[in-house]
Amino acid sequence: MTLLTTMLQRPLDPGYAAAADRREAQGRPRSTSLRSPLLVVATVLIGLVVGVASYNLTTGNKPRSQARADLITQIEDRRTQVDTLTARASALQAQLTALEAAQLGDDSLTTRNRELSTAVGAVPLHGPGFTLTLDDAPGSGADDTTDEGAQDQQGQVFAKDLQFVTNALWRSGAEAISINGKRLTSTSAIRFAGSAIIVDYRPLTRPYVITALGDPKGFPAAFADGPGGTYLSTLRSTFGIRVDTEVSDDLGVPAAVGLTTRYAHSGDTEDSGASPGSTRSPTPTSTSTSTRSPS
Amino acid sequence: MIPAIGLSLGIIIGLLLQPAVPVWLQPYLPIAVIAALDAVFGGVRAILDGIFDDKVFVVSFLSNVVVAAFIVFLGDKLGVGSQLSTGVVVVLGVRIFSNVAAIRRHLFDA
Repeated sequence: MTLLTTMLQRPLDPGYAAAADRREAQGRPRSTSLRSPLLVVATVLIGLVVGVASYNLTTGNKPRSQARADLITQIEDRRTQVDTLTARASALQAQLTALEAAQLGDDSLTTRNRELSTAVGAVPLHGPGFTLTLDDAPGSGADDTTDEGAQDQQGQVFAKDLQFVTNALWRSGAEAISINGKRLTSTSAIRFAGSAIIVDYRPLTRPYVITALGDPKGFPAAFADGPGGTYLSTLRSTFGIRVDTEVSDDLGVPAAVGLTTRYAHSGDTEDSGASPGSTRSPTPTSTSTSTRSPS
Repeated sequence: MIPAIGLSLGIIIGLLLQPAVPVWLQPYLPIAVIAALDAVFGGVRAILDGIFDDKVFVVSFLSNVVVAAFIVFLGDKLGVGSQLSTGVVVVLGVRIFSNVAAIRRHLFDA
């Protein structure tokens, strides 16, 4: 501990005392003048070091924040682009559907086609139904802008919650569902990526508005009495998640964007009896990545 | 008084000129600042003790900066990163504190 003792008990450079003793022995004052040019140069130099360092160390973040701003601008640009193209795609799809209907006439095949299009979400639908608005609990860390550091994740809506609610909606007889204006199809996936909820590879922002169309008589009651209603009330009472339900006579869901036809090949015969996939009754695939389970 | 003016003059020049320090020199800046502070507080204490010596002051400042920079450089080359710089900061920091305490005793008798 010699080093620490020396450091703590004699913090002053011993050179000062030695120089003072030497000067005293020569008959000069113990302290030199404060006006020597050497001292002036040295102090200016020290000041310069401090000034330069403070300038360089405090403004060092500038390029980084600049890059960050650039990236944000790029993200916003791209998002606008995607929105424009999505709108264009759905407009073209609507046009296509109309032309198809005009060309095909009105036979049994067309009727079946129309039914199937409704089921897979290829056409926009209007009708009675209700909207469910889910939002994070007040002050659950999502309200402040410091992302990642969500201190209290308990009050956040998870992808799992949306999965459960949409599955419960299908189960209680929903004919079409959209979340935040995105139509769910039989191949839609609700996933978690970081702290964002992803529906069909597009991130959603709060609040989550689920629009469900269905028979106005039985459907809302069936949902409220079923597991979905229980789940939502648990979310509300246990985690403080805000849930609003609003029944309406005329709601609309858009057509799903980017529907593709897939062909299923039977495994045992070489004969490839091509048949369109995704015609089964709509049940969203669910991939659960969250761990919380309201009991 | 003159040293204080010189110090402020240096700071003002540094802030006004805003010279861009090359990237390789930037890790040395915080250490240089701490070494400079150590020399300044040591000098102030020596003035109050009545044993100030300009040559010792200049030499202690320069050697502080050189040794501190060398330790940072060495830490970089040895691959221990900032840990040696932490050593420099601890030693000089303790000295600054002790010297400031001595200055305080001189000025306020407390």
